[in-house]
Amino acid sequence: MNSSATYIRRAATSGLRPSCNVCPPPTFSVTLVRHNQTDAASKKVKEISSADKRYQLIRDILYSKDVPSTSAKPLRPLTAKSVSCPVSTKNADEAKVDAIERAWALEKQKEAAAKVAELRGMYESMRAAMEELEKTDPRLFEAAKVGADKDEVVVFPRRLRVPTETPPIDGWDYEMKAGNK
Amino acid sequence: MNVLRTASRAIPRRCLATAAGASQKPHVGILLKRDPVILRQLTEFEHAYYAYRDSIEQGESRPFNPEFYFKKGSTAEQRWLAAQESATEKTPSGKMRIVQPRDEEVGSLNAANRATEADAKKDMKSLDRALDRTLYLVVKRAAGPVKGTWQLPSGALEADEVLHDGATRHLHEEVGSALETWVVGKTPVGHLVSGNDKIFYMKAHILSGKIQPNGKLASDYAWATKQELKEYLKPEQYATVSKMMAEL
Repeated sequence: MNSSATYIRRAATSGLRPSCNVCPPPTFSVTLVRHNQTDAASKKVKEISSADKRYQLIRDILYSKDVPSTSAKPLRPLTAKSVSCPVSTKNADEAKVDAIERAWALEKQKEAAAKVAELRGMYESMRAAMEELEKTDPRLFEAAKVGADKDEVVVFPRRLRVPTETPPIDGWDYEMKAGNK
Repeated sequence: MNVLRTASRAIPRRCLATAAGASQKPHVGILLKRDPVILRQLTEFEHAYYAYRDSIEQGESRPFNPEFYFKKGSTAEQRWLAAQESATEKTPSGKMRIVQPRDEEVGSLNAANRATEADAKKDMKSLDRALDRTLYLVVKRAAGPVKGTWQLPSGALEADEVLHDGATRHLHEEVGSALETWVVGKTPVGHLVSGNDKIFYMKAHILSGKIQPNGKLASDYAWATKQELKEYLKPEQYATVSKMMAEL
């Protein structure tokens, strides 16, 4: 009789099919499932109450009122005006954010273009040198070629340093201390 | 011309030099660079933008819940609470500023200055100058028709030598052996045709050590950035050489 009563209540509160008796389902209510107060049962009550507290804590963190809702904002209706003017100029905040992001994107574009131009210059310089070398000295040209048919692998030296926020305290290693260790 | 070149494979190089092929003598040059030691300074805009994005993240972040991360009564929790008591200021969004317990330890670490003495003195021979830029070695010629001019180190190849081996050998001849260098691969990064000589440049990094110029080849030396090299090299040389260099 008792067991049937608890079974019905659990089903009502969770709305799911009944799970095992050991671990309680994650309910959104604070009510405890009550059992007869035997020794084994009282242990169960303690376990359930501490578990409930953890769920409560997680729920409070996830759905805290301090955090603004991150649900998707509805899209603006697609009209000719919204397409030609994607950011509303009347809303000052929105316009400000848009201006900042555009300026940043522009800076990044310029940086990328400059980098590509630099690399192109280096490549053209290398190519011109190799073409000149081919005309000048075939032996040197063959030795300078790097190809898939060659067995050697170019490796970077271990002491090639990565730039850091601040320099080493001892400054430049003029006495080659690291090399002579 | 072709006939002469095919014949040169049988004839030793010395003969080729005395013949009309004197203009074909290849030289090897070395673009010795010291990489940037420190990261570049952020521009004002970059700084402002990152601060702006940080403030947005702060405003939208979930509040830190110590109950979840620290077990009640543990030493970690006590250490954290003690650190929070010292921090009383609030962030602009009104949330409590989180203080990590080990923050003062990190703050008390010694760090060298980004601008060194060499920067202040404008010591062109120092490798501690312009730490956020790449420095390139230029030497002042001590002999020959170009005596007194500043150039990138270069010299003739010896018999049967290859470019990258010749680069290492000549570099040590010109600036001494008290330095650790690494020549990048076997392919030249650029070339310069000056009069009778064709110089093929190999890129090399200096990893440690110092320059000790050989008096017979180089009377003086300097470590210059890409922009400063303009003052040292001739305009036509600079135009060729600058293409081999990176902006930073």
